[in-house]
Amino acid sequence: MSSQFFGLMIGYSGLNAAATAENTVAHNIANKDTDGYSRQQVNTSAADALRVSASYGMAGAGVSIGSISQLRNSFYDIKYRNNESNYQYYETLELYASTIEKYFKDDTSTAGFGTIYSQDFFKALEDLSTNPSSTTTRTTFVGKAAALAEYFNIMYSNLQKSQRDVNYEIKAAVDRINNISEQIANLNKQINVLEISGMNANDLRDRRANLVDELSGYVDVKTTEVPIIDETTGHDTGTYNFIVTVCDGQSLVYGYMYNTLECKERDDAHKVNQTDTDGLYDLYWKNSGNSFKPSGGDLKGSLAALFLERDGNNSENLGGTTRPATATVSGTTATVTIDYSGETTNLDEIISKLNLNDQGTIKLKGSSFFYDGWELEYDDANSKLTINFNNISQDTQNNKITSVAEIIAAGTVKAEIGTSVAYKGIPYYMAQMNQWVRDFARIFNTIEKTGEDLDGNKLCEYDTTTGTYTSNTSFFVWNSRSPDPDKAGQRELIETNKDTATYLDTSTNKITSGDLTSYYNMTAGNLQVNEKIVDDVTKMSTTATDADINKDAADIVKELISIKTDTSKMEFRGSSSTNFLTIVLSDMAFASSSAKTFADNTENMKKSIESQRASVSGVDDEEEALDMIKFQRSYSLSSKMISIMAQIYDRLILETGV
Amino acid sequence: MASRVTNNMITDNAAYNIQLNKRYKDKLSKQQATERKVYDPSDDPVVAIRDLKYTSALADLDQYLNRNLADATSWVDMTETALRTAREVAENIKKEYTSSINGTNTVADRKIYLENKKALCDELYKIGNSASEDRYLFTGYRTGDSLTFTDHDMNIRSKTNGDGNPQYDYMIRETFDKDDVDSYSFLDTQVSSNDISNATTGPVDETGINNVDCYRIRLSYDNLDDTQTRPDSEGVTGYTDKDGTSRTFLVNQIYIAGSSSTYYPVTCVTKDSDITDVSGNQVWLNTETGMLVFGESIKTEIMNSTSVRIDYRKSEWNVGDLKPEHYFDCVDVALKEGQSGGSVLTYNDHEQQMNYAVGDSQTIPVNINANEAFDPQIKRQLDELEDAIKAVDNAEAKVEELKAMLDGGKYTNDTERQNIEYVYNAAKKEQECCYARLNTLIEENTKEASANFDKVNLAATKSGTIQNRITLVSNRLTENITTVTAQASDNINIDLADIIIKLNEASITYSGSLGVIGKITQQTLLNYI
Repeated sequence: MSSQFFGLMIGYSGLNAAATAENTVAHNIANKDTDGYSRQQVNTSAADALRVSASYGMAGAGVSIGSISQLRNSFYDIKYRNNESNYQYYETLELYASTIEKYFKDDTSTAGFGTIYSQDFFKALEDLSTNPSSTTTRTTFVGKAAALAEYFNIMYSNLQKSQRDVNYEIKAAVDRINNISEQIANLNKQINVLEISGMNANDLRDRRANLVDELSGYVDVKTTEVPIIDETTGHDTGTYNFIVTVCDGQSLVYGYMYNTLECKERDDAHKVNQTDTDGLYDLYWKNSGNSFKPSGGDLKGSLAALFLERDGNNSENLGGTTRPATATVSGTTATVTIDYSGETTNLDEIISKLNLNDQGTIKLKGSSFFYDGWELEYDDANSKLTINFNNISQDTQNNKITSVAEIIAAGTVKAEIGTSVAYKGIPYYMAQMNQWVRDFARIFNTIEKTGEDLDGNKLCEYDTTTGTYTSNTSFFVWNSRSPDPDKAGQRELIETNKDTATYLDTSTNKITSGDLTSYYNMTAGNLQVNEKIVDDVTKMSTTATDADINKDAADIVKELISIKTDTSKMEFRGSSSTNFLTIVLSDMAFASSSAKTFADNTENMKKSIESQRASVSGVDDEEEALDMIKFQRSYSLSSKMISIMAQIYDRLILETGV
Repeated sequence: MASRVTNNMITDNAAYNIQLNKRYKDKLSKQQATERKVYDPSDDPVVAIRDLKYTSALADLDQYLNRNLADATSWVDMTETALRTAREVAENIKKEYTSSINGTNTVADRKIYLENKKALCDELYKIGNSASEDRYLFTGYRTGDSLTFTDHDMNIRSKTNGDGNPQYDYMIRETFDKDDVDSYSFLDTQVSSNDISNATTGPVDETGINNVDCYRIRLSYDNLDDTQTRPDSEGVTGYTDKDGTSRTFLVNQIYIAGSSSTYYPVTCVTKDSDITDVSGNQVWLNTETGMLVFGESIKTEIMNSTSVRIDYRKSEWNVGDLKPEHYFDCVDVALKEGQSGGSVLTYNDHEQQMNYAVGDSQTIPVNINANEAFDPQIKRQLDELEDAIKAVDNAEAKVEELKAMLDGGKYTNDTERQNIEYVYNAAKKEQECCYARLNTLIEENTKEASANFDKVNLAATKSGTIQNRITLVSNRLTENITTVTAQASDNINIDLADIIIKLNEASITYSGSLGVIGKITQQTLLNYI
């Protein structure tokens, strides 16, 4: 027979269990609205029965509290995190796509490209064609041309600003990621300290899971828990190494250790695109110095989206193969000729599309190098483009030790200038604007230069004997912001097209990075109308024949008007010049609308996964209320039990057999 | 197992759904406020991009209709008004010729006869100087250049060229065809004042005065420079024509183009009586009268040719003369003569057509060129008439003088009287010839005046036709604008009624869901324990 005091202990265990359960209910209710909180429950079991050497066998020993565990299904965590990466990715893309889209807006309320170019500019040009000698129509037209230039200037600086914003956001994201990984590593330690003694560190685990959830919004995340085995005894210690890897297996947190990401500003010599703003960040792992690539492949997360938006050039960077035979090495630097591998049609088109910085990085056989200048040569007969890169030198920020000499010795190798990013991001739209602006300015100038100003002076005259221009007034010029006063200010341009401008210097079919008269220098950001013409509108030409006599001849104006719709004059991506906005806007609108669709879908998915997760881990008012009552009852009962037992002792001790 | 639902899940879901509802209402209210289906292009890229196309099409149509066509209308209106007046003047010239067939009997009659026409001709040319907003209507692209020389032109050139230099000095290339050849006659000799003062010795009799029948081409100008010279001294030996071909000026030659293209020598004279021989291939240029005189063989040559070309120089210009650049290829070297470094002005295009764009590839010609309405020959007819009248006046005066000598009784000697008689007969013959010439000329001019009137009338009709075309195009453009506006509106504009119904539906759903979620969250188990 068991001890008479046994019952008291059983009652006590019940009281204890009920109190613990009630506390857990209180904890649950208190955290009902806490982010990432998982409902906890007390796991009880009947305590080990006592062998009492009686014929009826074992005697129940009350209740024992096994543990307080959380109700959480890690399957939903994985689902949530995968989706969160996608959601933040599309959400970020949508945000920037719709911002850029708004810049390009053109409707009744906002004057955009269509209003300024297709309507105002050509209206003024049509008016000029019916009255070319009047300074009023000329002034109006020059004003509209300046407005067009200004429109592109503003768009360009808006996009540069957006690129800068994205860049800051990358920095902010990286800071947060570093912060999260530090916290996770700390939590790992605290959790293990608690759990090594056999407890569940429920709330700490919730906090850690919450951090990983947040992290999954920035980057692709995978987590694994590896049991820690005591090496001396070979026993499971009951603790785990919690490992976080990001972006396809790059280790971020390993147990108590974590890796930090570092943002390094690109200097001018590292620029990828000509259009890039200064100080773009490249990411490196602080401890190893290796570069960190958050985008590419199927990688998702807002950081990947930010990089796509900031660097996306639709893979339109230059690439080709080296020509070792013509390479010259001197010391650690070399000049290397690259045969362009893409399709080309003529030099003008190449210049219009060129988004190559005058100095930057070039990848040869996968290794990164610098160049500090280039010379681009086009072979019309064979439609071949070659680019000479000057002073290719070792990229000190990159750790791979390969010298230029080694690369050249390796024979013909693959060369890539800049980075190919297969997304239509900010650099892509800037390059599109540049392409249009350069084409337009070149074609407009070429036509203008065949004419004479109102005083009968030719706008452009090339003296073949001396090989110099006796006059050269470009209607559209580029404004150099060079610190060197000799190179600053508005620069006249020289056309290189042989077919359309026979009076020009045709001896050259190459351009170099330092040549200030090349259309390569012109960007949407520095396009301007020549000050000479703005100051004196009679200096523009409206006719090619004796403008001082044929004052109202408008042959040049009519040819200029034909730029509007005649694709043989100007073609932008297979369409007429006015379709610039239609084409670029459809790129943007479709990108933005598909990002929006995916963001909506993943948001829906997020809601549904959150629901599923809440279905398992969420705290429910009624349940807790019921539990509260339930455990109150069992507490009351247990305490009643104890008082009954006390009475039994009273009876036994004080009244029985006394 | 059915999934467990917590209160938080219900409120979260409800909040999310209400959020969706609000987004929808926001979209609807944006659509309602802007009356457009699309707020950002990404709302519906296809519609948005189609809208851009419609907008630019509308802008084009608007430009064509309200700017280009309006400009064209004002230009053509001015032209039509000017030409209507010109037609009246031309008609008056024509009437003057026909109504006064017999108005040339006395010196006074002839004077009036001539002066009237000269006044009308001046007026006609003045109409050619009509301008719209300071732009001359009939001078092609050279809208800053009047049709005739004005005082202003002359003053400016006087200043730039200095004294002693011509204000204008043109080398003109004029081309004719066989229709420009007319029969012509002149007297090989005239009774001179010497003859009359020596009449008693009988220096001339009627056999000495002979009418030479020949042919002539009337150049567009008279008072040409003495010899046909190229302005070689200014380094100008030719010019580049409209097509870019170099042309060299002919010197003392005409060029007859045809099956056998030939150059013929030209001799300059200052009076017809200096012309010695019209039988051969010699061509004479009377620089005073601006007549190209030749005989039968050259005439036959021209009749078989396609065109005749002559280059001549004229440095003497008067206010009211038609400027040659509006009619012929020509070169003005006066500026270069007048000042070192002055330019040579080359005019190689006198039929400049101003076209206004009124559609994507549609243009309307708006201007009438001077040579379509203001023929230089109108004045030249009067020049010739004036010369003929002068000749008649002269001859008449001589006859009168000789008659007076005979009737005066001063000369009684029979031989003297006989001699005076001879001279009188010669003068009489001259008078008859001049009369005959005048009458032929009046007849011809009457015909030509009629042709001139037809020409001006045709030009007026042409500008009327342009006006009609403008009206037609304007109607079509207006119709197009209506169609495109409707299409654009179909594409982008929302149906307000539709939107309001949708907005109402959304509002009902919205307030419904608010009510429901309020009810659901109001009570928990705690209310009952």
